[in-house]
Amino acid sequence: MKKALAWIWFLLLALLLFFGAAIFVSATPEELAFALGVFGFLLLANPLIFGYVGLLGFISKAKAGLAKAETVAEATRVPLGQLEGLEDLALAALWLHELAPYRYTYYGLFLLLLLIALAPQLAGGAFAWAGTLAGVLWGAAVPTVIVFGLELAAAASLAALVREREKAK
Amino acid sequence: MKNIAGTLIISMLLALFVGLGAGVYIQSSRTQAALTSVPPSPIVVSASYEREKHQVVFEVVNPGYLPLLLVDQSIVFTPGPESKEKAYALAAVPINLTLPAQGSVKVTMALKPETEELKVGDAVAGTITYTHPLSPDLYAVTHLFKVGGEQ
Repeated sequence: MKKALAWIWFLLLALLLFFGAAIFVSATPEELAFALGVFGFLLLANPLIFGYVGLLGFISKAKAGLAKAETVAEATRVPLGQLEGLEDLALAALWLHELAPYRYTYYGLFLLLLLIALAPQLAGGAFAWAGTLAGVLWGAAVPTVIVFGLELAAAASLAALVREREKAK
Repeated sequence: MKNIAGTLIISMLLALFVGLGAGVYIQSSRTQAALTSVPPSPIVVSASYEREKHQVVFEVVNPGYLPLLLVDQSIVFTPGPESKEKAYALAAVPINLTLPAQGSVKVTMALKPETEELKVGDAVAGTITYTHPLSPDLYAVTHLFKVGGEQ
């Protein structure tokens, strides 16, 4: 699962790089700014994307009763000894909690970029770089939507698992 | 949010919005790049005669996305039936005016001094030569101004 995900990720990046190189020659400064925003924030979002996708996989395994504490220990770098004997629900909640600092950092930096990009518009003055900065913002919005969707999906599937367990009792 | 379908719908809507915004942004940058590679040509939208100063004023508009440099102007005066003045021409009077992209500018063409004022039926052909940043060539636009009854 993890290996397949890494391969898909690699192929996606290779494809993007291939087409990116093809259009790089004729790219406008705005498009380059867009690409900068996408790749820069994709790099920043990497632990979050991997974390939430891993957590979603962990929750679907927990539904089948196949979840292992080793997966969480490996992903969150919490010593395995502290996780042994914990219920899979608790493990998933711990994993979700471990991702919170990354999420706050990511959204904080995105908000900072949003403020910087919107400042020229809010101030009413026209700066030469305002248009290019908007490109970085639109680029950064792409991984942000991915992170936001994955985060919501992980929280929702964890909540669904909790409800399922409560019904079973 | 505790509903997986709801999270999916919200994420899809957000993705549509971001995709639309980014696409519009990139397309507009492409369009801008395409438009700035097309040299514009100025358009004379109005011409009027100022009797006191004895000059014709052309309002010139630049419809394109590149600035133009108006280099010089020439005037050809053709008398109408009511005028006793002889026909004359003024050539290559320097202007050196920058016409900004999507902007307009007023070009004053001083008529030949010590000639009588324009009468109904008189015609003034004003020629403005200009250059654009993509080429060193000189181009010209000629506007024919005929004095009407109300002027």
